[in-house]
Amino acid sequence: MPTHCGPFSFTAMPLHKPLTRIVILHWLALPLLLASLASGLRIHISSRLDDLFPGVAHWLPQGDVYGLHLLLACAWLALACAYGTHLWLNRAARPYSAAGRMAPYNRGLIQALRWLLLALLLLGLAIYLAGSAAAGGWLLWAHRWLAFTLLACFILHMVMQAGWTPWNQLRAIVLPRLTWQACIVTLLAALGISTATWLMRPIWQQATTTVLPVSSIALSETITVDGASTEAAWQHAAARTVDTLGVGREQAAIPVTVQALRQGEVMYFRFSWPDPTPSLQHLPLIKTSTGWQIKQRGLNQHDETLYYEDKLAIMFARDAAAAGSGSMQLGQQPVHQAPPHATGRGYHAAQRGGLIDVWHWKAVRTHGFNQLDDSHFGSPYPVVPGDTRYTAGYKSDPLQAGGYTENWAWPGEGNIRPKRLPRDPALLDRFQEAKADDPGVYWGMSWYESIPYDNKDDHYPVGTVMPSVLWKTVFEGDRGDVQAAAQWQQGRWTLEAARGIQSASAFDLDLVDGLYLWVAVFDHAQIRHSYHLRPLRLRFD
Amino acid sequence: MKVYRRIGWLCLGLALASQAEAAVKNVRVVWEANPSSEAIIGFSRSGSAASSGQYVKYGSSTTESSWQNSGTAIKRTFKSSLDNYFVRLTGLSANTEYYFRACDSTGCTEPYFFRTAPSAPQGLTFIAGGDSRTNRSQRQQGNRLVQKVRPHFVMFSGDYTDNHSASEMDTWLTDWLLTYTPTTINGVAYKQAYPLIPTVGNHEASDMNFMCSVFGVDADRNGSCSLRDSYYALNVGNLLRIYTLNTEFGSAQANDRTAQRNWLNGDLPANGSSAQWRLAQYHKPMFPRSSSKPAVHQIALDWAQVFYDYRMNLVNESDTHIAKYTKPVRPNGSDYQEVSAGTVYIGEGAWGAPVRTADRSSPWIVDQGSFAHLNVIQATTSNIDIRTVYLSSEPNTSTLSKASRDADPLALPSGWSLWDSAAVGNVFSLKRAANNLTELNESTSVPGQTISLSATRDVTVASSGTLQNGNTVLADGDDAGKQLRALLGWGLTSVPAGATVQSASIKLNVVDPSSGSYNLHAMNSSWSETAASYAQTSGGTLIGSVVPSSNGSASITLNAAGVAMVQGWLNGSMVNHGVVLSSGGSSNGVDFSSRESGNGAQLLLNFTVPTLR
Repeated sequence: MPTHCGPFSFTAMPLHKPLTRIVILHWLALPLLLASLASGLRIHISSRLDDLFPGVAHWLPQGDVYGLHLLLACAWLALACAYGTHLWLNRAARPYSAAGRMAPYNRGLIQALRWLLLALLLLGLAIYLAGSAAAGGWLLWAHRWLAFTLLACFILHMVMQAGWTPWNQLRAIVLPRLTWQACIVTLLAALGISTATWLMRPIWQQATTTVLPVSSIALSETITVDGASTEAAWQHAAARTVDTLGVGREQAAIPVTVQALRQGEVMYFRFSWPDPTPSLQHLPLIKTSTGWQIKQRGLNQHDETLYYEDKLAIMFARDAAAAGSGSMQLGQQPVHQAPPHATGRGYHAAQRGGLIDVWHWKAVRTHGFNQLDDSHFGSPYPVVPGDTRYTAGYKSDPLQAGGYTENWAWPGEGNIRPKRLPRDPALLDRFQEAKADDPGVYWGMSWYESIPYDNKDDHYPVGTVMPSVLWKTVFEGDRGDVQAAAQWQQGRWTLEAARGIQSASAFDLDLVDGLYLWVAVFDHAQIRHSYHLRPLRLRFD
Repeated sequence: MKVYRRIGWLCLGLALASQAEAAVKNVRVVWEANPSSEAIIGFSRSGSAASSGQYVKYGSSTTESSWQNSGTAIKRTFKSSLDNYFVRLTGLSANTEYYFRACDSTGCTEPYFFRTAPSAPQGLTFIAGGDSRTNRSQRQQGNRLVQKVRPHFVMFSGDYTDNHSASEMDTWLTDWLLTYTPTTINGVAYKQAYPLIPTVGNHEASDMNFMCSVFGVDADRNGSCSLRDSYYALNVGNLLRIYTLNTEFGSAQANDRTAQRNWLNGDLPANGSSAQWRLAQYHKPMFPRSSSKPAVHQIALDWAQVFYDYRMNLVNESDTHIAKYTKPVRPNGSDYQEVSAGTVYIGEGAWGAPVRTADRSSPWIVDQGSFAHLNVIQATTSNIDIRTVYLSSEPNTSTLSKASRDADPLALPSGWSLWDSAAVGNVFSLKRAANNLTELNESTSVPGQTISLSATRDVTVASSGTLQNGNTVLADGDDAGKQLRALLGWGLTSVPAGATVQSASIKLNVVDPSSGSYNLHAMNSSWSETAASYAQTSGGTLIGSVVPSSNGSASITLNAAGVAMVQGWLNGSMVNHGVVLSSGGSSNGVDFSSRESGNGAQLLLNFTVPTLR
């Protein structure tokens, strides 16, 4: 009397080895398929920001979904190898069906599923290696639609098999009569695949990561951080272009060219990316018949996409895990006990108490400081009552004094009360006729050039526009550690940044050989930024 | 005849043209090196006016026809819009006045003059301060104070403006003109300009090349602006060697920070001994005195050991917007240690920036306070005396005449209000120790030889004859028809025998201020809290006065008669009947805490006891 591991005892046909392998492969493939589809769908929703699947989003996985999806892809690769082995071992036999009989047209469906899975794997591999913006985003588009097709074929395959001999089909796959040996083999196979995938991950990541060579220049050479890049050293520095892919339905690709130099104790970076229109407005104020209001289209969801400045974010991490070293926490509520994200796209947070150094250049708010906003991703911080926006692990580095502030006490859709008015009303003249993309008009006012708001000073006519950014002084403290300046010329932004290789801040990473780097472009957008999955790796030459 | 007439008109035209208004403004004089023989004259383009061919006309006499033209000025633009022009005058004679105008092709500015540094070790009066950024009226008050002191030069330790914009800096340079003293010489109206030794502050961190583009400093003499121009040293004769350092080298300027440290570590041993005193100025203090600032600034602390090792005598710090004097100190890990001979640190910059609370205590502090001020420093071969002047006392300060300054390099104006530092009084006096470090000048200032005495009796006496002895003491010129006077007295038994009073002051805790002036007189007859008459409060010697215009501490510095009175109390030559505070004519009364409230009037004595030393 054989011992069975299934919950029921059946007297169906005995399972010989090829059939056992088929059942095991089905067992492994089924959860992988469901998890891959679910995680892929989450990525799709987060990057497209559309609501094609409004009822599904709630059930999809949240958190480091990119990491999960890539882990599943690795498992698929392992499974494909196992399947290839099965085919090789069983090359002399005729094809099996788990139930011994095949529904009409189902063999064709199975073939389609095989080819679809293979195509998805190859496309996924290509996207992993070449980036999600590769081939103008067509690889990603094909991967997405083939996944939907696979889902359709899979459902059809199940329905047809179940419809042909319902009970036998289900029983053969879901409740097969397997020996303990088969069960152990199945579990060991699953465990082995997972372990191998996990152990090989860093090797894969490092081996396939694009290197950014960082050459050393003499201390006697002068590099002026001004965005002009006129120094000869920049002409000779190695350049790498990262294709980033925008979010939203358009998903335009934005290539960012990165260069780096090191000089003694300091590292210099140069970033250049196309942008036909410099966006130098930042939520300007407009005087209406009822009072001052913020010009905005999505500020209340923290998702302004029109009246917003251009920005660039640069991330540094010690771990090469895709999607910002695993910092993209996708979903409506990926952080436990945190408020839902306004757009459902998710938050940024470092994993397992790690630290990701984030440099955030802001075209208007940090203009004139000769600095960018030095920030970081850490563990999600607790919810603070009264916070206008929860940002999980994303925080600016500590600030002693200085920086900028908005010209309102509390944002809103209706009237707001400005904190300050210009000391000289003529200061606003240049903004009245300026276009949003005028490269010479930065929509901000110096705090020193303004006075506290008082109704008696507010004689501005209806229709007057006023910047909402109040520049105080340079960032003092860790937040001001990175020197930076940018210029927009002939359809391109060029940003130069410099920082000490070693940092005294607990919120910075030392800029050392082997550090990984990502970039993200915000084209007049508050939170919608382009992205790329895999980093550049700094290599000191 | 017509030819002569035409020539005459031509000459007149040329003469007028030479005096025509130039399209340049905001003249300044800057010292960067060799001030006995060099000076940088800087000026700016006036608004949007077209200007070309900028130069300086100068000479060592007031005979303008003997002046020479400099070469073409170097143009440097600050923040893309503020055009500045610089001429470096060289080959000048030491301790000599130079008269000059800044000119362009359209004309010249009004005439100015400055004095080069002496080459011999003569006494010097100079000013050190910083942080002038936001309160413009207070900044202007400080500038007018400079004008009245006629210093030999000014050390400015950074934070000129708030946001370091071109327009703010333009305004600052215009305000700087207020430091120049109008002086008529041979019937010609000149302005005496005082050489400025500039420093980088944190509010200048967005463009530290302003040292070169606004003030013309070119420390490495390479003809271009770089961060190397933000630290340098100069000798004022062989009396002072002044180091100007940059605390604003952040992470992105790590190479410059290292280069500056290496330069200092090399220059101090090599050149520090070329002068009798070594001074330094920089912006961020090693140990800021306000808890609103980080406890330590490491970039400055990195210099502490080399300062001590190579006999840095006096350091002026800034940034915190408070006043402080330290005792002579040496570095001790991440702190100072008080020593008999060491480096003295003063500061911390309040020339118009909002003052902060000086709320960090350390055992090596002599005193610290929160008020707008600048430091007037006088150096001789043996001593350095520091007076911290309240900017608010500028209107009452007399202007030192040119003749007075020419006759006495240590002459000072009168009428100003000086910080009555708890331990040292109005003058923080230092002397050079045998090892060339700094020690306190014990003949006038002995930290620890001060005492604060709480009032042992106080009462309000009204002209109606009634007494009031509650939680407040009052003085008023007209309180519903009555006059009120405050009687105060202290016991002196805790003052050491033989003490010689150097200075004395009375501090009141004002709870209801007055805009009026109140006078302090000596009491001539005995009284108690239960037995005093209004009649006996008249006729005593005037020993001080005060305008108690705000709540909180109000200090009355006793004049010479007041100090003598206290000394008499101690000697026994005068009976201690206390003092009386009465209105100087104001009917706006003042209330202050009585001893019954636990915060009564304090008598602060600074004294020496010869037998202790």
